[in-house]
Amino acid sequence: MIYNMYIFDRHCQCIYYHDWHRGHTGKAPFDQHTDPLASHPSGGGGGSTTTTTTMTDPRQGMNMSLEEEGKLVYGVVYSLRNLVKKLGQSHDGFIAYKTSHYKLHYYETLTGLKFVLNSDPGVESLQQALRQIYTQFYVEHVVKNPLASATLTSGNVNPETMGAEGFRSGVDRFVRSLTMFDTL
Amino acid sequence: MIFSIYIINKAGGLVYNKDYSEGLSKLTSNEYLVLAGTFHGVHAITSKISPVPGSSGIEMLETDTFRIHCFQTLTGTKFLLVADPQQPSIDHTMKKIYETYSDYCVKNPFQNPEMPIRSEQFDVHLLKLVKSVGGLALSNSNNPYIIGNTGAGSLQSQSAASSSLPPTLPNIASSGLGLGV
Amino acid sequence: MSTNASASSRLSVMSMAASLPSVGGYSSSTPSIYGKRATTNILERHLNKTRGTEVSVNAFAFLFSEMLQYTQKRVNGIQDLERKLNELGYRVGIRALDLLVWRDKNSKRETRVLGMLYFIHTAVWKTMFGKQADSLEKSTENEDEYMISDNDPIVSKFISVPKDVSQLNCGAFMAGIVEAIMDGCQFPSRVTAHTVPIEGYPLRTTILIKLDKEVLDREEQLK
Repeated sequence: MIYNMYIFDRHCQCIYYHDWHRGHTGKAPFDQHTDPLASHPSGGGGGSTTTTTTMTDPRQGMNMSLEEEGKLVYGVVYSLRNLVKKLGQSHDGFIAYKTSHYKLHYYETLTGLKFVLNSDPGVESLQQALRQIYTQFYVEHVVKNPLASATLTSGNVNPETMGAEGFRSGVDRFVRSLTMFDTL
Repeated sequence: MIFSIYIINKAGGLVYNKDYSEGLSKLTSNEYLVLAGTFHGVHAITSKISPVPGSSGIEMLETDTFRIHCFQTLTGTKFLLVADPQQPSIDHTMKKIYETYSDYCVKNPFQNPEMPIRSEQFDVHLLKLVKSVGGLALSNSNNPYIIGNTGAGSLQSQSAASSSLPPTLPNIASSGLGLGV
Repeated sequence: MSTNASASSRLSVMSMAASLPSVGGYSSSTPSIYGKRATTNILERHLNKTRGTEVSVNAFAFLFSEMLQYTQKRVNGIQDLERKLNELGYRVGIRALDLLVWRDKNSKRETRVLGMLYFIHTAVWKTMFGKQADSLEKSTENEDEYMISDNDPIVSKFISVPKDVSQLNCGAFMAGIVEAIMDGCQFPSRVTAHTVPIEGYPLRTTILIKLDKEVLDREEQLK
């Protein structure tokens, strides 16, 4: 099951966001394996969103704006990347991390672009898929598209609409074609 | 192969760290503290940014050379196990580490909760555990932790020797302990 | 007893205590408010029954750890702490002796030092720690000293003594038990614990028993 995807640029700004099965656990709403200490009043709104399998508003119940969430996600991958670098003799090798409910896949290009994709924890590494998204869609539809590149460099992008020029639909098609897209 | 074991208390402070195999960079103790604090923070955030509700914090971090497994107890203590990706039966090992911790740290009257762990028996038993799950790299013979076969062999010969000895006194009588009176 | 015990099982505890040695099958007739579980209630368990009633070593370890921490806050120095532990052990020992003697079917009163020490080495150790002690030795240097050693004493199983109090031996508690038993059997003596590690047994503890002069004198007469 693929949940959502973020892309961050070099300047730690979230430039792209897309979600597919967000809030869809396929599990009983109160089958929660919560962190005993992390007091998260937001926490995804408990079981309120899980009961609805129809995805009316995937962000409903998350009392965190996308911008805020993007910053947190960036903070996490940034910290973990540095931690891995430090432990692993300056070798950059962060691939993924896993919690009880999701797995975050990470791919960083040499230009400092960061691709982050969340899936259910059972999925094998999706780093190759992220790399494909970069080479087949980002390079093709964003880098080679002067208009798209221009909006990106101007600094104010809406991550939920960016790349309407074929990138978003391309990514959507690609992700939906993955075998683990909606299997749990 | 197990690289290291860290224990982080519920406030994010590093209370124990021990390296078992070569392969990771050596950090200063201050860097280790920072690292533990970072992980603690990230652990809390990862449960917040979950795309699905009710997620725990980070449980396993995967890199191309090693994996960090994290187990958080119900009381908030975190055990980090840094191992290479091929290391088998992590869950079992983690459980055993927790057991060792409960035995030799929690039940030790000289160990203050949430404080850095100084417990000789914990060190010894943890090393024994790491060895038993094949956590030590066989190649690095200069690893100070490897006492391996020589230790076990001499133990047996010692017990055999001591049983055959006549019941002579251990030297406490002459060491003057409480005998002056 | 079983006929008028139907009012409450608490009552039956009282009546049982009064007629302890004679109750045999009391459990089947215990009243039903606690149902079958009443038979496993620790208060109602027969004193003579030892199998399956052992205390978990972990439960003991926690209790002992708390005892040590409590004591540690109220003493000056290690000697004082050991003395205090010895006292605590004494309180256990004096009770344990009564129980042991009562349980022992063909118990006789030990009159000789060796018999007494052997009783401690085997019977006492078995009841208290679930195994026999590992050795019983007589000092070659002092006539009045004997030693009982335990290679892996249960009381300090989980304890790591920090460097700054390295002289401390938590076996002082065991020493207290031994002292109480010696005392209770009319063998007054001074008992101390010492760490004497040998290879493979870093926690090996020797209980040093120094008999009072009167005991030696009596022993001389009995010869």
